[in-house]
Amino acid sequence: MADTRVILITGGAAGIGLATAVRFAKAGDHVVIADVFEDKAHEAVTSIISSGGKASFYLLDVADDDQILRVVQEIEETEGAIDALVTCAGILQNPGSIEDMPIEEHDRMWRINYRGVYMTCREVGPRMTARGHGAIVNMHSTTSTRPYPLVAYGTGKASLKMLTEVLAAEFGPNGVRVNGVAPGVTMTENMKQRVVAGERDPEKIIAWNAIPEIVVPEDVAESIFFLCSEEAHAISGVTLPIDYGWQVAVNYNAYPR
Amino acid sequence: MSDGRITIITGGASGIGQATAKRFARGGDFIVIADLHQDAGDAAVKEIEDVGGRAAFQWLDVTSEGSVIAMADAVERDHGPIEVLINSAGILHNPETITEFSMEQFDAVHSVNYRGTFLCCREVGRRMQEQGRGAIGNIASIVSFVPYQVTAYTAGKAAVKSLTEILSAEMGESNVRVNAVAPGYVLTPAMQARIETGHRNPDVMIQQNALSKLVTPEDVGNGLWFLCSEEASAITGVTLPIDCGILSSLPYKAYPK
Repeated sequence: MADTRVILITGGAAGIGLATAVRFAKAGDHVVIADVFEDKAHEAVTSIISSGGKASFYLLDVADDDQILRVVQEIEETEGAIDALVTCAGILQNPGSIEDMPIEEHDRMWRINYRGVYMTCREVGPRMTARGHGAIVNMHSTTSTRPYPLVAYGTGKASLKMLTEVLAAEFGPNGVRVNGVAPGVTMTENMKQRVVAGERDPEKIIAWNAIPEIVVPEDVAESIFFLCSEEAHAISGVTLPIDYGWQVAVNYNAYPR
Repeated sequence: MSDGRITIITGGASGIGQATAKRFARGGDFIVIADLHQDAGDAAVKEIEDVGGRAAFQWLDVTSEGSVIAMADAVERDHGPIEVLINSAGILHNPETITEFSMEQFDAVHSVNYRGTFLCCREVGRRMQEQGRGAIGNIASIVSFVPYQVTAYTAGKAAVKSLTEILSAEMGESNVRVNAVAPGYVLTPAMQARIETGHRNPDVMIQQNALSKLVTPEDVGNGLWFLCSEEASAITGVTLPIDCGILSSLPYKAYPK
């Protein structure tokens, strides 16, 4: 490895964010986990450090604009310039109709999943463009391009895809790349609990994928790592699906016969 | 590192194909350069062998069904089961309107860029399905997503993206992954020659890209390497732009103000 990069991962204490933190740390990067979940984040940092990696934790609620401004400032002062930003902080919703979605829940989801990313990119992006380099990866979803009965989640993720494209064009001339990953249904710890509780049937998830497997957080982490690497220095503005072919199979297999 | 996969690269004697051949050889694969041009192919094999890689040349005319079948048979017989196929045999043409476009030229471009890819996917994909594993990387283009004034090329590349999606759905159950890359303006030796003769202005191309530089053949090789690697085992049916952000920046910069 060349120089140690500083990688800011929001929502890095669990799920895809945690797997991403572990992946970057394994490559020798200094991982900064910014999360609302203090205990889990401390656990993650301790685990990374005990495996020989570099990691730090900052308490951050991306629903709070002032916190984003302050924490990004603190991170840059204490840990150094942020080389890559991965915005994993996000929340899920249960499926349902627009009538059943309380507007408060809708607003909270947008506040975190869209506005939180927007504000984080707005705070970190200009610092990167001023330095002339940087990589941002946003957490899109297969629902960025295909409708699911997730009226607040899906619309937010579709907007994130557009945000990524606009920022790729805006930041590109100053050497900053902006991309997104679009995971299908992923077997996070959260999802495992839902399976155990009988709320999700893994067989049904598998049946809809072109390759009969379920995405794991490490799959997504590998792609995020690739998109932030030198090998991807000509890639910006893309949305990379990591979904075992769900997006293609969902249409292909529906052919009526 | 791979464990010495057999990788066929059509059009591997020059340009993106050759850069990809070098990248996969560096990763430990045995490379079969399948190309119409024997001399250039032999030279590409020698370049790989000179740096300690392993490669062989196999003559191939992708416009001929018989030639494609014979190629697949020969590679299996001489080297073993085919694990990776990269379809980079392709040709370009000058910009022209549809009303001015001759059917001879349409057929010439179509028979290589789309039909050739179709045939190679069919013959090699069939064998991969029987093995229960394999990865295919097609060369789509930014014109798979947006229109350009290169009629036959654009239609063919849009079809390659569609073919990639259909095949990934069809072959997923057999654990065969099918993806594509979508390069933007690539500084191939052919492009370099057009720049030198004054047919292309590099400044215009660079200015159009978000990242203010041109894609190199090596960038495309890196993208294909990732998509065909174990790290991308959950990725199938995607078309990954490697375009220095032009898909984002063209409309962004076209905003009238």
